[in-house]
Amino acid sequence: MAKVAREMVEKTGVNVDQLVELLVKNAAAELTTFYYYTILRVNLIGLEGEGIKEIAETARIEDRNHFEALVPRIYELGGKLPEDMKVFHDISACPPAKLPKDPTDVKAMLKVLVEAERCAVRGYTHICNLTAGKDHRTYDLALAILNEEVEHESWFSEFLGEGPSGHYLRRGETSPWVGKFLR
Amino acid sequence: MQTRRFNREELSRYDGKNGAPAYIAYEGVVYDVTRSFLWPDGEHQAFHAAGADLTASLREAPHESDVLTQFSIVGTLEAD
Repeated sequence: MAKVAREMVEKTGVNVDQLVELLVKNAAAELTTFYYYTILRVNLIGLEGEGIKEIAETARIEDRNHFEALVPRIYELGGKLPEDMKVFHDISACPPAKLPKDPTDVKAMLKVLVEAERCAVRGYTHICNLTAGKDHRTYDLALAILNEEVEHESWFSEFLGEGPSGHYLRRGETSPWVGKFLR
Repeated sequence: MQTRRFNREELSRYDGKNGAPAYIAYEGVVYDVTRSFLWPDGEHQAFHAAGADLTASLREAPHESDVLTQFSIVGTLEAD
């Protein structure tokens, strides 16, 4: 644990135990989403599915990156990951992004993807609101993740016909915002 | 259909702990969130607990109150 780092956050009035619990829940959401997106991705086939596969894959890899980036902050603040993977799954901040009953229904697939991203956008907005001006490091991390989650949402939203997002797909490397926490 | 009326003390018993159902109140309506994936053991996103009136909390939440439409209504909460 980074003792002084935790003390500094506590002094601002943030309930660090609750914040850590929230970070763990969001880390669980990221890793479980990585897992469920793996299943979605392999089922994104055919004329319609192949067109979505690339963004689903980028979102999948970036969600894994979010998990990797969250873990150090959890431990810095005195938290830890559950020892039992089943427990970790069940405390996720977002519901499982499960494969639709009809895996050939690409629109149903997109709805699962966009809802998962929207849950993440809400979650990191909440963490940013809790930590703004108080816990600068967690805020910086949550904001970086939020920037990527907003882009993920916009990609899937465009495919659902909800209107143009104004965002472009990644050119080359993944995690342009969160990358600084992974180096 | 007859609706059950809860006071705050009665509502507090439905906290989702030790097998109890998890109920929450919002704007005078009591909802059953027991089976929600996002309310394990009557707790939600580390900051909210069942068995309480969450009207004020939900106004600060990063989602709208329409998320409650997926839950069944089990009664009303008496005004203070």
